[in-house]
Amino acid sequence: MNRKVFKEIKPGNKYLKKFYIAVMLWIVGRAIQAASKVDREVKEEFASLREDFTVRLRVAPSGPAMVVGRVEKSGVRYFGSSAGDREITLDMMIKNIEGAMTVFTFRESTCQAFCNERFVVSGDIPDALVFVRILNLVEVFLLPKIIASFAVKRYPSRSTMGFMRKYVGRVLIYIRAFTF
Amino acid sequence: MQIPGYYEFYNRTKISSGRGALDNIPFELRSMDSYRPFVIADRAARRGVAGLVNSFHGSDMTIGALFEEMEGPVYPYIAEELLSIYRKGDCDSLIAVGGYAAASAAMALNIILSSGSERIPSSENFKLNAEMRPFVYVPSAGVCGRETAGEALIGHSVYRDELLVPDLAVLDRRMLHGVKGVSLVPAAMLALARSTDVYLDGDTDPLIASYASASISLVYGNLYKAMKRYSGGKERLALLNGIAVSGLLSSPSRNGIVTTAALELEKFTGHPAGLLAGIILPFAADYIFRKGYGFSGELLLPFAGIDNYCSVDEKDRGGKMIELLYLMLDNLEGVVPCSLRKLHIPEYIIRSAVEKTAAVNGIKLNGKEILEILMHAHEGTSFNEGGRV
Repeated sequence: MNRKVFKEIKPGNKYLKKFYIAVMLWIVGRAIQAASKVDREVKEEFASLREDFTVRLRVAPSGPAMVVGRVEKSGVRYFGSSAGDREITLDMMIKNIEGAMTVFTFRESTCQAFCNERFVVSGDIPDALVFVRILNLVEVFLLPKIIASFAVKRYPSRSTMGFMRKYVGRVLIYIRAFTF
Repeated sequence: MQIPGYYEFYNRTKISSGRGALDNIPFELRSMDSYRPFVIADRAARRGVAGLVNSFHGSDMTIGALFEEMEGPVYPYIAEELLSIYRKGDCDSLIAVGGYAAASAAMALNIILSSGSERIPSSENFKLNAEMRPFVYVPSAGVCGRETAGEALIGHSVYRDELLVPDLAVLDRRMLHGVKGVSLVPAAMLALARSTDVYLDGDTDPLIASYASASISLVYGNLYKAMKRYSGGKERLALLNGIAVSGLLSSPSRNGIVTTAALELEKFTGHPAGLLAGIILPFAADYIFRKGYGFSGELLLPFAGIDNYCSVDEKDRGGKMIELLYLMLDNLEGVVPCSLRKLHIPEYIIRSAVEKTAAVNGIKLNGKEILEILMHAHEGTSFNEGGRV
């Protein structure tokens, strides 16, 4: 046996996938911030959380991240990929970049991904469930029905989310998320 | 099901199966405080190694060393050479890819690391301790059904210990590309035999019975579709799941009559234990059923499914079960021989194997009964008036 042949292997990086996930997390973070001002239900979900609530959704081991948290006067702010001095009260980590791709290309819904143990959650489970509901609502606002129905557990019917609420909310969220 | 007076159950192996299972390996290793795995792959599984290396992309983890020439039995000198590669690569965990050779090699390394010496200890005299490193097993080509059973074949000795089982078994369809379904049949037969032995044994604990039931459902329910040439990828993965789960049932005190007889015959003849177990299984079940040794008709449930199980009268379930087993052997004609005679196994070898089998702890049948079963398996004749059911 020639021992010299068995070298170590330094696997490469998945830059394109990391870039895609980073962009998706940026969009979702900005959209959550906008939706908290536009939609009543998102506002109420955030109001049920603790005042210093801060969630970080990231990809292990050193992938992109999104930090969203409550600020004073019932506001919600997207902090980018780093929390700075803020304490993270809920840390949701996706185990690997492929798991993140599965979730953010909507091959699996967030709920299905939880069931398949693609997430590791540190923090209160009730807070995690509230955040997943918020994420589902934001995905319904951001995405057309044909895609959003893969992303969420149950696409809301017309009686749950009326035509006006959905489409006006969608326009307002897009404007707020990508302008100011 | 009756609960035994006392039992203990412990399962050390985490199973990760399905889409993206391979990509979880770096995370799981990191959670076990390991950052430089040593990958040992069977020569037949080299195609799958590329998939494994791809799964490490973006994980910030380095593969300490890769050895993909594993073939045939693991001799002590090979284990010692692998140890030197492991040390040179500064590795801290083991990933075995492929079949029994790679798994045995990884287990051998863990045995040597526990011993604290540079040489492998004897199979009667080895102890495992905290020096063992995390062991991940990824089945691919060459699976034989013993990889998750906590037994390593090193040289001509079998090293058995419950701590030798993998910490993590990763089953991913990407590792089955190019693997023919027919090549999984011996492993599937061994899995079926091991799981059926649990029921043939009579008294067992409910957790082992649930593992056995799951294994039988997965193996029997997917066996025929998995053998299809151009489709059946999903079924092959399900079959692999059943094989991996059945390995967890194995323990020195738990191997039943069929598995023990097959393993003893394998030592004498060199034929795969799975093929032998597949031949012996219907005859052993038939004998135990006719003798009324506590054979339960419950066994029909994982084989036939809930609908067929309920449609059969309670008193007929045992007989139906035996019919199914013989039918399975007939349907696998061409892949699994219908008798031991077709494998050219002479009678004197069967008698030698019977002696060894009867001497194993936990086997409830005596030598005469085991001989009767194996002679019928040799001739291929069932126990009802000498003909096939």
